[in-house]
Amino acid sequence: MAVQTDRLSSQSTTVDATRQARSGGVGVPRSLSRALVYLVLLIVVLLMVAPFYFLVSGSLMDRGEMFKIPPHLYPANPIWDNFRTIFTDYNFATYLKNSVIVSGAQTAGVLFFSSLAGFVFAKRRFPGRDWLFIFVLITAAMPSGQTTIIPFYLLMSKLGWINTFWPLIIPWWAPPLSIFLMRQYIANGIPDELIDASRLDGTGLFGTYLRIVLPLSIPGLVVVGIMQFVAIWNDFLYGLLVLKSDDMRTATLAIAVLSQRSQAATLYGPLFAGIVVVTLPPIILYFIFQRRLTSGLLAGSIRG
Amino acid sequence: MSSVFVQPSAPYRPPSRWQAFRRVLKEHWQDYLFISPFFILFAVFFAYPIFWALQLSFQKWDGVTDPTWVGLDNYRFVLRDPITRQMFYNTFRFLILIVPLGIMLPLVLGVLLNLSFLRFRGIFRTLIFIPTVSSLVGIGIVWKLLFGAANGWLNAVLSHVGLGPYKWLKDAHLAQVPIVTLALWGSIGFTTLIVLGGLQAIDEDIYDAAKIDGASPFSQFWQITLPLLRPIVVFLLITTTIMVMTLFSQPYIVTEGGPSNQPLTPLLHIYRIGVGSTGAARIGDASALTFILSIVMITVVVMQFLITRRRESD
Repeated sequence: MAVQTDRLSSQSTTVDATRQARSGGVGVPRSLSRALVYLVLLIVVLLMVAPFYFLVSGSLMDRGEMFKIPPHLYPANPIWDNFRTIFTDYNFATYLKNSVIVSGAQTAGVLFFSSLAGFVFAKRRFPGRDWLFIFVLITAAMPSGQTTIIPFYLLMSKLGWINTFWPLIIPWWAPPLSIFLMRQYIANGIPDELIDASRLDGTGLFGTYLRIVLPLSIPGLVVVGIMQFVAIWNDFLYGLLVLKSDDMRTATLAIAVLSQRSQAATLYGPLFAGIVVVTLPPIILYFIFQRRLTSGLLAGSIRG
Repeated sequence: MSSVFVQPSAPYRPPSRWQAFRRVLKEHWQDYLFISPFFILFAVFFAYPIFWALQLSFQKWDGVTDPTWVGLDNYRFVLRDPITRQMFYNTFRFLILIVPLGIMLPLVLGVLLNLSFLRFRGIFRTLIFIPTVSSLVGIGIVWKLLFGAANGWLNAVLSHVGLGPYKWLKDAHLAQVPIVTLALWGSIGFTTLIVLGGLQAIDEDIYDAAKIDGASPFSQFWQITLPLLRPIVVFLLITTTIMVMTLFSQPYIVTEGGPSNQPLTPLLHIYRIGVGSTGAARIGDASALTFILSIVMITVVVMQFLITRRRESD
């Protein structure tokens, strides 16, 4: 990534210089148009970030202050207590625990199954491989997943999985997009010689996967894992569909339920504190792995 | 097909189909085993439900009593039902409102973020991407309060400058605004990143050549950037269309599907009648809708793909 941007910017500076030399003073002055670009980007960034600002400042207000007219942009006396109340009075410890279990179990399965399949598709030759891989790609492009919620729900009740975490874990263990990304990563990132050498040592196929492929595909696994974790953490539809009792709710589901109480009964301070707590883990993950994640996604999009 | 993979060292003897099959299996059973989870999960949890939905769409069933066979009645009912029509009309309107913006905004942002003189590029990119990883439900609740009632923040600000208050969540037409803005807010971070990826893959030399020919930045964009980004634009068109057709959390949280069914979306409708959040479950109707919607979506996506492909080959 760093290399890519460096190459890009150094090339562009030369381009820029030629442009400057050529276009003596056509139309809008250069500095003005540049200022305009910064202004547009600044406005967009503000619009993207503003909801978080409202969220955080709202989580530190009481009800009266939240609906003051004119609105308070920041809390006069921050009420940190809201962050305690959600755990003492609103059971958020359980919801967060549920979210961690569901997201962790789903992500772990995805990492295992998609890297295993990605390895086989990338490095092995066997009859029908290409057709099977094309099938995987087609299902990745199919939009119909969510429309089948009703038969999915009926299937879950047939299996006795309603109000359990299984429907949010097992069906999602081998997403085609993750298999595709892992295949690309392994095909380009792990030399055939390493795998051949391990096979010649008499290591079995699964042993080779464990000892050679898995450790070497960690950067790819990070990208796939975070994408998956964030997606399931923020899932609402399927949780709403199958998790029925309060003690089984994920954190995302819990804030939705909390917000649907009648307007008068909703305590917005704790609700907003709850939203802050739910929203934070994916954002923290994103900030930690930002560089790797962006370049991974960029690479995927260029090839895809 | 399989003959390609026969080891050249094996002595030639025309193998029977069965022998060849057994040898392939013996040699490659682990390969098939390791890729099998995807195919098993796909068959059980995604393919089977679709066919089950087809079967259920010919039955009347509330999920409790015995189902009865009703032929095409569900389809007939669903296609005449004013609520379903409203739902399709809503979807069409959302497509018109969201898709053009969902393509233009990322293109503009991507081009701006890729400008050579830009500083703090990484910071801009990071902040624009944040909505992509944040909880739509959580931010949807913030949206609800921003737009909500007379004392919502947006109305407070508007009335300060002498406008409004508007009943954003209660008026059938205005209720489109929170949904559209939330959908765009939640999606353009990712799509901008995709555009940026496409822009960075373009060879800078092409621009140099254009500049020597004296092309202005705008004609460079129209004549070079946009044609080269065509696959990316197709991707944006398809993902945004799918996003609009599967809107669920946004209307569920922000307007709760109201007012007067205006921002009712297909998934929300299917969910309501299928699970029976309003009265007894109508699984037959929900399944008929599921099937109609799946076919519409696949057709739209395939058409978009084919049309843009054909233009490319012109």
